[in-house]
Amino acid sequence: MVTRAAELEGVPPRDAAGVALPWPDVVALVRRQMRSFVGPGRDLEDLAQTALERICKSADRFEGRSEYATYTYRVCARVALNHWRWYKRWLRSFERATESTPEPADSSPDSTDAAIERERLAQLHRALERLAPMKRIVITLCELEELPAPRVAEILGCPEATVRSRLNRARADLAVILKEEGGNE
Amino acid sequence: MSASSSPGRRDRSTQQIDRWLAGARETWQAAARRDDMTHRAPSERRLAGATKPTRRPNALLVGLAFAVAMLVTAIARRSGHAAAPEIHAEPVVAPVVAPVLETAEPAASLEAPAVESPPLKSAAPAPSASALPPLPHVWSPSERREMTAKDRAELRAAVRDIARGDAVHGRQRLRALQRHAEPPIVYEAAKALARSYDEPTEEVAAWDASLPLIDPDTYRALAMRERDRALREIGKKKEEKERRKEREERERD
Repeated sequence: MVTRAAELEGVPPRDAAGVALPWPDVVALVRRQMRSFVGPGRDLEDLAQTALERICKSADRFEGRSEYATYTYRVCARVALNHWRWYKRWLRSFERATESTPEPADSSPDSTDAAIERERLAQLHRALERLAPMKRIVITLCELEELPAPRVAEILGCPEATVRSRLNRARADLAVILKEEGGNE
Repeated sequence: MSASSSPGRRDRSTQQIDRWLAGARETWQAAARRDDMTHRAPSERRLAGATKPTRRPNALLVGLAFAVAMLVTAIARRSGHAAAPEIHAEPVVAPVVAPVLETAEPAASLEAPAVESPPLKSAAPAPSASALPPLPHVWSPSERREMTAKDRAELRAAVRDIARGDAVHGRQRLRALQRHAEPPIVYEAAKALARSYDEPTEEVAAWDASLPLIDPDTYRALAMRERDRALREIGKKKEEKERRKEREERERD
């Protein structure tokens, strides 16, 4: 939930060619990217707002050496990583009391297909939540968003080989998680 | 980079995860489409309303300006020029008056009844109005910018002293200001000094003392008008006094 209005100090964002980007376009881009990391849950807007603030404050540091979407992906990835790390620490101290709080309601007609799809999505998010934060990022970018490895390497600021090895490990972990979930069911 | 393009041999478990990921990708994309249709627009509106880039002035410049302002205030306070209420009840410049005084010599005609009152010891000899030079120029309010903030602070401090009852100190300040190079400040100091006296005779005497110091080209006409007003007050008082005397005599008879 967005709780406060932030008048961001800084210059309006510009793309690699130096052309000023309309703020609503940047908002849409960042929200979509953040949704790919954290899903359409309760934290999406708060995290998107945090990412937008960071993007705006550091807009003058964007040198145009990569695509603007790559830069925003990078910021979103960092915000998501920080959030998950914080959440892990928070869980160590506090019991999660919001299990029963419903996610944003889906207004689509409740057909059988929709119910199956929702269940699949919930299973996917459960599996992703059990992955380590960096592996979750890599799986999301490489497998779900289908971004090429060089671009993922650019987003994460690491060599391409590192991305590939992280992806292999993430897939192995995911296989274990799915096996466990299948065994539990 | 989809799973299908990953290099290397795949065992059974890898194939299973590939299949699962392919299904998950479809679910993922369908969820994204659904989100686009339902939640995206209001969410983006909320985000756009909550975050808005602005270009703010350089914090360093703002800080520097604030520091300079504080320094100026501190210096003004140290020299005893605390702020006081504005003293001018009416504008200094009255352009309508000037041309009338050039020809009519009203000061001389109005002086007649006032001469009968005993002159104050401190009063300087009043210059005759006919000796006054013509008034080619009356200062406009925009020309009063030359009066600096320090001068105005001094004037306010003097008025504050008088209002507090410390008339001696206040008048000292005002007399010092009358030797100022700026005609407006000289005139205003003279005006404040004259009005600091309760009795019209004292006021006239103060104007008489100040008139030689006031710039003849600009503010002397105004000063003369103020002096005439004080003289009229004297005349009125004298008339009242005489009427009271006559009434008392009639009552006695």
